[in-house]
Amino acid sequence: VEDIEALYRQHVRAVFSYAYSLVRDRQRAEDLTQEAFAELIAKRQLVDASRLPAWLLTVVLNRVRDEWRRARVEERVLAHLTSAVDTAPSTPEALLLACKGLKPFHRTCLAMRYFQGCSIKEIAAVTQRGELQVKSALQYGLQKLRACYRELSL
Amino acid sequence: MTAHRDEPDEGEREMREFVASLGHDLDALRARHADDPPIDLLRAARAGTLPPGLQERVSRHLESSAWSRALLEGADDEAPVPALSKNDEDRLWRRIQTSAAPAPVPRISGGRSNRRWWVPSLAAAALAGVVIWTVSRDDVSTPAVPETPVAVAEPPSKPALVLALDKPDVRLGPGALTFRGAEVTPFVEAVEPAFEAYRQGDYVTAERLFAGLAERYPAAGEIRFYQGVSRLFVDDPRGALSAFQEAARTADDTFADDIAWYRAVAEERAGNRTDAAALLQQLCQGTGPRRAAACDALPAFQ
Repeated sequence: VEDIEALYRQHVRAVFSYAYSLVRDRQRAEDLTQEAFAELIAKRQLVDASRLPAWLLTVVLNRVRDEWRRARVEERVLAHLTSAVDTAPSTPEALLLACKGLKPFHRTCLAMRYFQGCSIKEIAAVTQRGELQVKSALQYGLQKLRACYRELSL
Repeated sequence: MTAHRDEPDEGEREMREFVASLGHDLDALRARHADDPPIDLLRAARAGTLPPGLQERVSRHLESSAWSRALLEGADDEAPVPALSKNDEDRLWRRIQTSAAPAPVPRISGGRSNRRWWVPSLAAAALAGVVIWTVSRDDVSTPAVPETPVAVAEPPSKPALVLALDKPDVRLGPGALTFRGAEVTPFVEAVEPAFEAYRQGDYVTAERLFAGLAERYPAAGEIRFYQGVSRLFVDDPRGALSAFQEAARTADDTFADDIAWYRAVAEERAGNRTDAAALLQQLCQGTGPRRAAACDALPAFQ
């Protein structure tokens, strides 16, 4: 690996996009990108440049897997993990899932806000949107949901 | 359930009245989904990045729960993927340079050969930790790294590697062929593309395929073993160690020596020479096929 900076400029966007697709968090994606290129610098004498960016993507993937492994979430999650949900047509799930005109993003915002009790800030963080976008989605989603509910009641 | 922390406006009050009108249906819904995995876990399962057992369970949940699928779809629906601007690229490059740069080493009489190779590595790791911590605390507009570009670091002056990375031949353990009974043929067919990539030396593809197989066959230790070897060949010894750890737990005894040997190779490449030596010691005291090689290599670690 002769010119690390040239390789960085060539591949950084692909590596960052891949990292972001895995974690959906800009800061973590940047950290992962940094780690991958730092690893490349450390291993520059061993890495064949023709194997890039696949080598960098593999480093990112392995880092994310290691993070989850270290988080040791199995014990906490497996014991409580629910199996399939059998949704009857009259339940609120069915209403939300079947409501035409309700975009997936609106549905998720409504569910997180009113069924899970999340704050607007929390929803914005999970969906990686601005708080104004979330508020707007909630207002729009409310109108659509009410219309669907009226239709169902009639 | 967390309380709403934002001040409700008129729309909010209207929505809450509407939600309250759902009454028992809503309570039932909340009870049904109280233990559903959170969205970040669903996302990780979809990306295939969870530990094997959890990956399997959350994937199964995701397949069978329309509600969780809908939540995940909505969370990521048309979400803009942030782009890296030229400034972002430059900032990140400075971070990389800083994290990779060796810290100044105190002058030691006797010259370079007396330097301990791990000192710059530890200092660089500590510096990287400080940089990451600072960047995560500070606003993005406050650069946490020097504006002056730092020269790309030379690799730390580590001692030459003692343990060569040889490619082990492909084989399946007898246990694997026995316990799967009638499923032997599908198993062999399923693993063939991964082993073919491995034979061809395409370790990136092999690693990716082995990762998928590990989720499908969590008890097949040989898959973890060859995944670990593939990671070694793409110079990811820490990832290899994780795979070998799983292999040691699940593979049959016929793999024990090979797993210990390649763990030693990975430990050395990860900079853990003491752990590598301990594994070699264990092999040297045994009677397995790696005994002689381990005994020969051991003095170089002491």
